Amino acid sequence: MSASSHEARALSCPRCGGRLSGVTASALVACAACGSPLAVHVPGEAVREAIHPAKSAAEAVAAAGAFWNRDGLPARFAQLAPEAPVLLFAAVGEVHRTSVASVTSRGAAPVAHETRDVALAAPIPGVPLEKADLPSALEAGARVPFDPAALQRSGLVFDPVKGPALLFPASRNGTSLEERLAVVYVPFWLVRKRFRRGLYEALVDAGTGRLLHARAPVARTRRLLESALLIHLLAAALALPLGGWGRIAGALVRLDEIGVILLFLVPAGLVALAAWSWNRLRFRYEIEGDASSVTFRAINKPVKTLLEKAVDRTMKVTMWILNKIV
Amino acid sequence: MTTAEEPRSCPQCGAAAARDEADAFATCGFCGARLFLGDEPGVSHELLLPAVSPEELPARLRAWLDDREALGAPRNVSSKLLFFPFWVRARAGVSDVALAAPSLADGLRDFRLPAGDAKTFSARATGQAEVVAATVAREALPFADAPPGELRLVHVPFHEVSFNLFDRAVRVWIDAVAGQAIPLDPIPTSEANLDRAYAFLLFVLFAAAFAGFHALFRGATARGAVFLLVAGPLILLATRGIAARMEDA
Repeated sequence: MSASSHEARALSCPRCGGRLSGVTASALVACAACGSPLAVHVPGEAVREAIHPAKSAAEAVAAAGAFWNRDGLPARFAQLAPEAPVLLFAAVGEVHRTSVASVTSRGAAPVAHETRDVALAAPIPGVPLEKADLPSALEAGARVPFDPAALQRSGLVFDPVKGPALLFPASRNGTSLEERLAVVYVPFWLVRKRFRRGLYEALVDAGTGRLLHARAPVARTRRLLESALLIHLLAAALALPLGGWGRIAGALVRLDEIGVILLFLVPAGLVALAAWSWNRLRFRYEIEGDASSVTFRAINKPVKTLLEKAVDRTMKVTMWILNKIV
Repeated sequence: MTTAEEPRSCPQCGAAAARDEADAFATCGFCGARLFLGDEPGVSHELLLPAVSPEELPARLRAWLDDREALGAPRNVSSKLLFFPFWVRARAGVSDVALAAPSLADGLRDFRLPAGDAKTFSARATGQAEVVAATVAREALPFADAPPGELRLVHVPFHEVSFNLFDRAVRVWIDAVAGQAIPLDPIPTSEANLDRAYAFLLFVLFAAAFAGFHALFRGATARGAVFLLVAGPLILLATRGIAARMEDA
C-alpha cells in the first residue's frame, strides 16, 4: 500500500467501524468515533510519533540560568530576565532494519541481524542539535501519536528536510528483509536573552533538562587587570632609556650562545606581546559551551590580525638569522 | 474521498505526499508535513510581488550592518529569492498575522505584513524562487476559530543574503517588498562607543605608567612612585567603574 493508494484512505476502526479519515501513512492514531488507540502500519512508510517535554519551561530557564549566572559576565546581563522560552520539536528519523549479509562463508546459513539507526532529519540553522544524544532521547522519551495541530500549538515543529533515502541509504552489505521507518519529533527548549544589540541563546534538552549549548557576553572589566599589567610592561619598555637597553643587551651577550639566542628573540617576543595585548584589549569576548566546558571567543576578530602576521614574519626572520649564526 | 490524485513530492523532505481527504492539505508520507494546497473554498492564497531588486541588496546590507556597528566587510555575499508563508486574518480593518511555517528568525514573529502588490498565488508567479511550504495547520493558529472567509495565506518574498563576517557565516532576510531586514543568525556586533571610551581610559593609564617609569629610570623616585602607586591604581579603579557602568547602561 502506498501513500497515494486509495486503500490507505479507506481505513476503518476495527472496533467500531468508524472511518479513519486523513490517515495516509503509518501512524499511531485514536479513532475519532470511539477513541480506541490504533496503530496503522503502511509498509515502507514512516510511523510518526512525538515525545512530549519532560522538563518545563521554568526548568529550562533554570538550566540556562546556571550557565548565565557566573563570574565575569556583565552584571546587568545576569539580572535580565530571558524571553519566553520557545519549545522546538526537531524531526529525528529512526530505522529498524532486519537484513541478511550478502556474502556468507561457504555452506553457512544466512543469518538475519537487526540494526537501528538514528539521524537528525531536520537540522535547524543556528541551533546546534548535533550536541544532543538523540538515540538516548528516543529511548528515554515516552512516545505519543503525532498530532500536528496539537504539537504546533505547543511549539515550533520542524519537519524533516531530508527524506528517508538520504537519511538511511540502503545497506551495501546485505539484503534488507524488513524495514521500519519512524519520524519522531523530539522536544528542545530554546531560551534567549536580549542584551545590548546581541541575542544570546541556550539550548536545553527538554527530556533530560541538560544544557546542550549556550552563549553569553564577557564583561570588559574581566580583563582589566590583565590589560593594566600589559600597559605597565609596555610603558616600562618604552620609558627605559637607550642605555638601559644597552645594558640588557650586554648582559645577554655575556651569557654566551643562549644569551645571543635570547637577544635575537627579544624583538619577536615584544611583537608577540604586543599582538597578544592587542587581541585582549581590542576585541569583545563571548563565552560559549555547555554545563561542563566553556570556551572564550573574540568577536569580530579576523583570522590573523596585522600584529599576528607581524609576529609570524618576525619569527621567520629570527629563526633564519639564528640558523645562520648558531 | 477525493478522486484520483497524483501524488506530489513533499517540498520539505522529498518523500511522496498525498492529498488529505476533503481537505486543502496534502500530508507527506514520511515527515507528516501538512502542505497547504491553496484551493480550500473561502481561503485565498496570495503572494506579494517583489519590489526590491537584487541590485539594491549590497547598499541595503551595508546600511543595516553599519546601523548594528558590525565591523568589517561582508565576504562571499550571495543571495536568493524565497517566498515565506504567513496566515493572515483580516477583520474590521485589523490584521492578525501568524507564521505558516516554523522559523526562529529574530523579528519574524513580530513581522508586519508590508503593503504591496498582491496577486493570486501560482507556481508561475514565483518563477525560480524557492517557495517555503505552509505547514502550520489552521487548527494550531492563535485565531483557529476564524471562519475561512477571514483567512488568507500570503507568501511574502524575501531576499536571503548569505555572507561571511570575519569567521562567521551569517544570513539575513531582506523583505523584498518594503526592504526591512531580519537576521537569521546572530550578527557579531561591536560596540563602537564603548570601545572608544575603554581605549581612552586605558590610554590615560598608559600615560600615567609611562610618566611613572620615566621618572623612576631618571632617579626621580618619589615622583615615579606617585604616578605608579597612586595615580595608576586610581585610574584603574575609575576605568573599572566607568567601563562597568557603560556596559550595563
